[in-house]
Amino acid sequence: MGLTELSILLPVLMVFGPLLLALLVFLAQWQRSADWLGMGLGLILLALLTPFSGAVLLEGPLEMQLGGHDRGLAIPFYVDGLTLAMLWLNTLLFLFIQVYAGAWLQLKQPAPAAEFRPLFLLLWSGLNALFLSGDLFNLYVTLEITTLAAVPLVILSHGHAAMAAAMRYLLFALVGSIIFLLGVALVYAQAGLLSLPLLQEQAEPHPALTVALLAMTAGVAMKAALFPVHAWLPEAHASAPSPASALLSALVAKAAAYLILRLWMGPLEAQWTPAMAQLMGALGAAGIIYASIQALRQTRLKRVIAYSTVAQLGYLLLLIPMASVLAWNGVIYHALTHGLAKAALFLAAGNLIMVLRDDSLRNLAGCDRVLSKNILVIGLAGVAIAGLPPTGGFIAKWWLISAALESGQWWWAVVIGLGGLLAAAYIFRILSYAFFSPDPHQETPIHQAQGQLTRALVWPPVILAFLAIALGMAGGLLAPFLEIAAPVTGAQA
Amino acid sequence: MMSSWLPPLLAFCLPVLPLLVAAGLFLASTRSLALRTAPWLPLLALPLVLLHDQLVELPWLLLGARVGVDNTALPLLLLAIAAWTVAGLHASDTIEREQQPRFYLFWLLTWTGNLCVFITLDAASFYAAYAMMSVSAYGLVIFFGRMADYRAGRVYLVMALLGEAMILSGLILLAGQLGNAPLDALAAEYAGLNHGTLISWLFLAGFAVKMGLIPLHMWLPLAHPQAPVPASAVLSGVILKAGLIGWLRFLPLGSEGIDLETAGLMLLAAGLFTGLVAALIGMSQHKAKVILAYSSISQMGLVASLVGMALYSPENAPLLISIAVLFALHHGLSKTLLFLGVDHAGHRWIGKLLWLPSLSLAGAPLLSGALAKILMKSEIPESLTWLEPILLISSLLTTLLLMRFLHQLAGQHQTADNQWSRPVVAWMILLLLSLGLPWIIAITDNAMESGIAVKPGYLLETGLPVLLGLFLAALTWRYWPANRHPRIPAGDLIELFRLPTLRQPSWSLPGRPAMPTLLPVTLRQLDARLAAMGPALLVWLVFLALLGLLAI
Amino acid sequence: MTVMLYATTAATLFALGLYAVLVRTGLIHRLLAANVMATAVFLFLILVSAENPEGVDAIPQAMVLTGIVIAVSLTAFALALLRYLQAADDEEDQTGSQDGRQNGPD
Repeated sequence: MGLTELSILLPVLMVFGPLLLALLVFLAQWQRSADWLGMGLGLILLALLTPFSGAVLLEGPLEMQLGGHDRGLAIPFYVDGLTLAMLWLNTLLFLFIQVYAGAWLQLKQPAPAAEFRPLFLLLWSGLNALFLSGDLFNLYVTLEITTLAAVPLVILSHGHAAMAAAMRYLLFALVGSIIFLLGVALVYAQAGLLSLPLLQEQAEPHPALTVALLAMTAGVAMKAALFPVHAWLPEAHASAPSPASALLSALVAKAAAYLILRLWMGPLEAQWTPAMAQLMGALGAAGIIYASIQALRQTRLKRVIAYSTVAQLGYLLLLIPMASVLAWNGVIYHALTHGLAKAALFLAAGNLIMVLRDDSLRNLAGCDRVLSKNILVIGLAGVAIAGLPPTGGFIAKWWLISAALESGQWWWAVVIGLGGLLAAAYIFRILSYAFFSPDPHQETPIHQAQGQLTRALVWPPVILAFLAIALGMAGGLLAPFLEIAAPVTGAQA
Repeated sequence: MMSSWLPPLLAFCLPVLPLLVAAGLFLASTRSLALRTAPWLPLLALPLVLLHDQLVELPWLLLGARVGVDNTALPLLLLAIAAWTVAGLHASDTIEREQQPRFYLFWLLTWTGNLCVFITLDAASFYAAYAMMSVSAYGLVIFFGRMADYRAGRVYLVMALLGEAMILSGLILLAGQLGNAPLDALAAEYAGLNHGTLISWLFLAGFAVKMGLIPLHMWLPLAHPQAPVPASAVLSGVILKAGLIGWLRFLPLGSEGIDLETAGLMLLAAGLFTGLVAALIGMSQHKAKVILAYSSISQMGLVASLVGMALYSPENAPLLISIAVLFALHHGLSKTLLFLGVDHAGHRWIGKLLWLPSLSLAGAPLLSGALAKILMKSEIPESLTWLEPILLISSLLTTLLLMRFLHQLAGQHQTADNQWSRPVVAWMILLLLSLGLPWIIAITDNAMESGIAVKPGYLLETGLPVLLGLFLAALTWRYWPANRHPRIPAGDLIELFRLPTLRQPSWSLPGRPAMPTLLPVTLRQLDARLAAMGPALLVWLVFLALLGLLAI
Repeated sequence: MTVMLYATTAATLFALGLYAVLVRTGLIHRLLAANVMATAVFLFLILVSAENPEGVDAIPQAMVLTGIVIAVSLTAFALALLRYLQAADDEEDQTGSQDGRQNGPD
């Protein structure tokens, strides 16, 4: 198979493979074989991604038209370094969570298996399509597909709280999607174009396009849970079933934030002023500080992790004011590390809940002896999120701080440092509950539950956490990939 | 020709007189005399008008006070004297006898501050007067001592101090270079200043709090309705204008040396945004005084947009300033009438005559509002012609808002009275003033083409939005189910920071105002508020509007 | 003139919907308001399609169709969820339990 065929085959397979599988599983109700098929698909995609990444590195950004239409019409795919990184993250996470979810559904009583698997696969397809799309309207459609797959995942852990959280999530998403569509309509009315590469080449600065950019940002931010419109996220992510929480936090919210970066960097670059960029950065900074402090106040494990997601998404916005290659690499690296670590955290939290029946932090007392691997995951992934060396988070923060100092905007360096300290604080707070507050009354339920956790439940989070650490060694190796067609200028990392 | 000893005497004695009377309220022997003279004291400041076009230096006072009444200040001074006198007479009839000493204490302190804000021409005295006015007004806001009063007072005080902090920062930057800056020629000095832009921004934002520019308006819909009616009248009618005079005194208006085009455009946009949005929010209110407070925010937004235009095109600045002052005069008189009318709604004549100031605010032809709006429209720079439809929409919204006010007022329980008591007579005199004074000011100012306000084309143009508004209001009155009216809590954005429970300060004695309890908003509550769609989306959209302003 | 009329209508509808989303607290109200906003955007897209100098433009129309499908499915899902939520509420009222009460919708 030549590289050209591969670069057509892989994107198509990434979108339609999970979609067809979802249909198949939903119609035929294959439960157990669906897991094997999904894992097989994940492995195939992973195997194909390696030569595909090489091809993109060698030949520059890939632009392809599905169905052979003209440029500017129909369904274009666009792959650059950012897309590539997100596709890797997506494939890895879905592969490991697939393994975890299969085992989780077997233990869970009553198991929402018939609903979970099709939604899971649909979400996979939607996210792949979202990352690949190079056209505003297709981005809107794929964003809606992910929403329609993500919200039902929240409800699967039955109960009034989950449904109320899902309803709130849905309302924010619905209003957000309409405001986003308004932005898309404005772009088309002004520029007559929707394709992102064409917009980058042709769009002149125009007030209408600025308004469009703001409207799209407004809409997507409601799905990405950026600071002032974030409050639905902790509830939704904390009340969703744990494998779904991992997907939502590591990928779905990030996909929306990814879209903001896509729009601001490149296609609509001419439409904003440095002052606006500073304000967007300030928004991100406010989110980092605010949500980190909120995370410090929570009494439940999953809510700590969910607030941490709101905080970590704030870092992505720091790219906008800095806009250099260093910052670009740093932000993508941050997204990758956070995705892996956050998924690991939620999966480990799921294991703990399965054993303890409850995720109050106080219940963690004494867990370190019997659930050591899960506590280890929380420690490792937490260290990666806080950005201590030698993790991926450290590389990301290092690049971001260098970019801030290089561009003379030292205040972002202060924010990044402060955010790291706060993250370390809320992670060590969890660990201190596990290690330092032994409570004899908590012994019994742990021992009873000992035998339940199978290897398929314990190992995926461990591997993910180690991957997040391993990213710290691969900075130099991956940087050339991230820089493919980066829409920013400046020194290379 | 005045003799040389008279101006310093006037400039010192007249502002100090209210302070003496206020002190007299504390002595048993002079109390009844002080109470009788207190309502008339604002009128006693009328001789200050003699200082028109003069500059009196009192080098021994404060840091070298300079007093004078220039063309900018004269209309505002007249407004202040008229409104405070009428409102003071109103208070002497409506405030209970045993409460009056406390009321007039704060009343006179606030009046002194307000008067001096208009007549002082040096930075230090101005700031002293401004701070005195802002802080004393707190006593008026919390006068009744109910729960809601303390909350309103707290919000008011926090935001007022925030504004003062910004003004003070600007003043300190200014004082480092100019000393106690003279305010009559400050604009020309800006070109040679370090940090000139920063200083102007500080003043812009600091005085915007007093003007109630969104989103710095949150205190206003809480504080104004909470105060007793006469205090609300002067708060809305006159004290807001202290923000305007602050801008006019401290901003480099008409100065070519410093480029503030962006600031001007942003102020213009923020003013228009305030003008429209405050009217919309006001329509969702249910209490008459809250509706009036929102109307004040909306009208002050228009005044702010005039100042923004003056920053944007320095060559037109002098005329735009005169128009802004005229607008403020018109709004002050009408708004005072409306607020005082809330207490008189049952009166046979006033109930009907309230339509006049309402229509005037809406901009109905031949009334002072139309005069101000037409002059405003005639001075719109060439590059900003898109403003005209916005002004028409604003007229329409104002009409609807004031019709809502009249409707809510008519729905209130009111006792019919037909007596010609002292406050009623004073109200009538103020009404006559409000009809005539803006015209006199406009006609005597040679630069203003006041004649255009009576041309047929303009009559039609000003009449149409008002007529449309009246028609829509009539339709709504007839068909809109009253129980379906949307509700936004007064103070809109402030709801985000609201605490669910507040204890009454246990040590507050009746008859004595308590200090505010400044509790921090807890983070949990903030997130609980943001979890609701409305507040979160509102904050988010306001933020984006801010972002959009930066694109200019 | 017609263009202005349609554009004004679309803007007014959008503003009305947004206002209701901001002010109303009932879930059904919010849902309807969001749909009004969506309709306004669709109207605007139709206007863009009609105003194309080279004859009617098909792309915005395709966008409207897709948009309608998405809006309908989201609304349908929201309505279904609403019913479940209502049922859960009623059940709780009957049993008198207070669990999960603090997480009421909005």
